[in-house]
Amino acid sequence: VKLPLSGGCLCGALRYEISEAPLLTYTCHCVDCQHLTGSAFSLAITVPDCAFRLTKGEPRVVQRTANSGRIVERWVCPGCGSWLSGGPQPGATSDEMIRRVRAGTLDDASWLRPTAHFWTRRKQPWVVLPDGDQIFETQPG
Amino acid sequence: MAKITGGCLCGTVRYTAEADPTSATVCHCRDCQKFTGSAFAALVLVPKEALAIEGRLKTFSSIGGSGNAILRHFCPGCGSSIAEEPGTRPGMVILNVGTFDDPAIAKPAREIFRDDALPWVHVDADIPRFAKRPA
Repeated sequence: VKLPLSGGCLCGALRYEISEAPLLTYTCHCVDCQHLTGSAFSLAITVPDCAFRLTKGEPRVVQRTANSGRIVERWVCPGCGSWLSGGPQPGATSDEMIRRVRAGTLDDASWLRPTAHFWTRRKQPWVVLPDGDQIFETQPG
Repeated sequence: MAKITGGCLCGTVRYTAEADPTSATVCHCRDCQKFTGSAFAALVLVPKEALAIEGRLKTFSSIGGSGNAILRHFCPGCGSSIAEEPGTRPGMVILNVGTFDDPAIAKPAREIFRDDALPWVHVDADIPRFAKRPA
């Protein structure tokens, strides 16, 4: 994979760069992810937060209380509504902080291959997951 | 036809529609990937007069793969991708099925822009697949 990775929202108001290869690529089929994407699941890569740099624009920061009770932050483009990433997690120190970036916003997502799938209990029946991947019925522990 | 209810993640936008959810389109185009942040969009076509929306949407307009304008509507509060209006289909609105209260009522009937599909994405149905948009 050629670094840095680059991406942005649909209208181009928000742009980012990622200087390190993803730690994990996964899909999440939870109901919140279906509602927010309007699609059947969300697709994410996790990267060290320090490797993520917003190079253009100001996101709208949307806060929501997850089923777990944790407050989840999401960065959304105010101009086109694209969901770009999560926010940095509260409480984590900067070197252990992980950022989840919505992989559909990468300029090139064709090389990505998810290896884990979360909340498959909520998966739409017509979505077929690749053989041999890690399957989690809900959130991984 | 079925009565479809849905809305955004934060609950600001709600809608009801009369449409056939068993004729959904899975669109793999890059714009749908960026708008959803996901691998594809899953879409159900509704005549405009069969759709009632409560709450304010925000709209982003761009040029679609056909060269015509496409309006993309989303919730200004939470960013949920709710609906599109393609210039190629006047009088029609496309709902993003993930915003249905019960997305499981939707069944794919075609895949379009398969040329842009992420290679691991597999839709389990014996349905027509188009490299770009259907003729």
